[in-house]
Amino acid sequence: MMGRVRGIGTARKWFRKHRIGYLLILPSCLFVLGFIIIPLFEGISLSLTTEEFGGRGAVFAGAANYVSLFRSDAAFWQAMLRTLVWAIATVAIVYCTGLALSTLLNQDIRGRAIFRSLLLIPWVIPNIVVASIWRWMYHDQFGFINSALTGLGLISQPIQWLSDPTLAFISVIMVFVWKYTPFMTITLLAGMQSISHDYYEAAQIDGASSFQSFLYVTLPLLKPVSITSTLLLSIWAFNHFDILYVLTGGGPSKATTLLSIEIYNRAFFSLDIGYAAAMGCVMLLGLLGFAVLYLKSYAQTAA
Amino acid sequence: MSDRRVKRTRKRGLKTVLVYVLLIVACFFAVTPVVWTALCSVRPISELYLGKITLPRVLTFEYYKRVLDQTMFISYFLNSVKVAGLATIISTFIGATAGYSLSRFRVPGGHQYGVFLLLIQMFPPVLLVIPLFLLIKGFGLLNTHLGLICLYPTLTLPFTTWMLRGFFDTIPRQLEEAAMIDGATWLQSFLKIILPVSGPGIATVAIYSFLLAWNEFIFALVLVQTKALRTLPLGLAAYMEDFGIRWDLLLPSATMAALPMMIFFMFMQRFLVKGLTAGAVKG
Repeated sequence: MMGRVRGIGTARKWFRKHRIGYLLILPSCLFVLGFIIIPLFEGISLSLTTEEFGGRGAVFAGAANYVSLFRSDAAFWQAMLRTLVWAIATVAIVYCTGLALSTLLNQDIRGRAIFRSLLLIPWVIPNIVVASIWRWMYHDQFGFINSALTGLGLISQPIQWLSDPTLAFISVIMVFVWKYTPFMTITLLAGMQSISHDYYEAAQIDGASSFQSFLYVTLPLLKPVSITSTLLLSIWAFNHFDILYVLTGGGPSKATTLLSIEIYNRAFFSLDIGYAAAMGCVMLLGLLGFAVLYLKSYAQTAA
Repeated sequence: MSDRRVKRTRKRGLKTVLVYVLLIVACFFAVTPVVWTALCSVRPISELYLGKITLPRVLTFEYYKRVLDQTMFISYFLNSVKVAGLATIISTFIGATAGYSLSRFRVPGGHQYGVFLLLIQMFPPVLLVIPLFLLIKGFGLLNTHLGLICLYPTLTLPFTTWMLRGFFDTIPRQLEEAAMIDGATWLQSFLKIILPVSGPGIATVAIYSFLLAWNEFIFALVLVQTKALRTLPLGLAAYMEDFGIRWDLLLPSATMAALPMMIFFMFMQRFLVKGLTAGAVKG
């Protein structure tokens, strides 16, 4: 539409106008390029090869990895299912506990700051320390839990918290809940504190009980915060690796092998890099659905 | 009338008691594992493997001495301090420049870039770690701290950028405009006007970055295999693998890894809470 000379002139002007803005974003872009974008594409291209550690090097294999992944990899789909159950269970429990605790902390009582500090403690404990601590808590002979239960006369045989497959899955869910509940509590508390007092007064004038105003005022107004924080937590739960890797190593008999652990083992123990990358790509595809939801809700909250 | 009032106050009193009881129970669950670990780390060996819940009768620091003398705990700790410290500086710097640009310059594509940053938060680390291992190995950066120091700021970018962008947005533009009219360049106005009032925002971002780098495990696990270069999480995991589980080493080192975080957190709680909620709550 424009003449070429004028076009160049405008481009130069445009560039000069935005030069500093772009210059300031540049360092950030370089890091993202080097550590996210390039690895991502490298990962996708690896997934199309038969790359193995110490093998003959990558051979292009087209969709072969994906075909065998979808056709015959029972372990992968079991891990996928397990991860979904894990994510739904942890997020549901964390949300309910977080909601209860934030409601309690939002009451007009003394010592709120102290309670809040104490409840936040699990959040600052590094995950590997969390795993060590709980491995000691769950210890069948010397652990706190079995000692306490024996001391109270509730059990006579020690409970095998981490050696029984079903029990181990429940035990690790509880550890994740312990670590991540503070996040939900504080987020929801901040959401509750940003609700104007007028709503509650209006509800009270209309004769609402405190339970009714919780149900009809707090919960609806908390919806945006709830959605964003729940989605964020779902993503963390779905991608989770470190606590379980150290606490149970994915065992006993794969009962706590989440997708991340399955993929990690495939890449760094079986040394099947190409295949593991394909598993990772399928996992990413599943997450992108979440991502769209998250972005939508974030845009709504920020607007 | 007065009867009803008495009833109401009594009901309210009952409710307050209930709130306290529930909060105390919750705090018990939150704190017990940490306190129990710390208590066990100072028990003599005769009281460690009892299977009973008692307070330690004698305090001993022999396990601490053992960890510090016989294992490489101190160098793990210092490695973590170094990696997390440098990563925090880079992370805060690139987050601040990008956040400032998104807040003030509004370049075409800037907003889309910000949204893209949110998206990368959900890429599975385990997918990225495989190609990163090969790439970093290719550049000869395997078994160095440099790889981690540059990687961690990238992982925190979504948070740092959005947090600081939001923070800069709340600083009135008129201040800078007035300075610009007086002949200041954007750099001078950034350094003299924006930075001095951005303390809380910068602190929040720095704390978040430090926590992430201090805690990070999977990337460190893959990118650092030399014993001497291990960060603290790797060192702790090794106490469970290298020697079987050595509780006498694990309990004191877990305590020592958690303690600085807890003390730090007591002083910095305001910023930590702010960082925690920023991701999900507007403002």
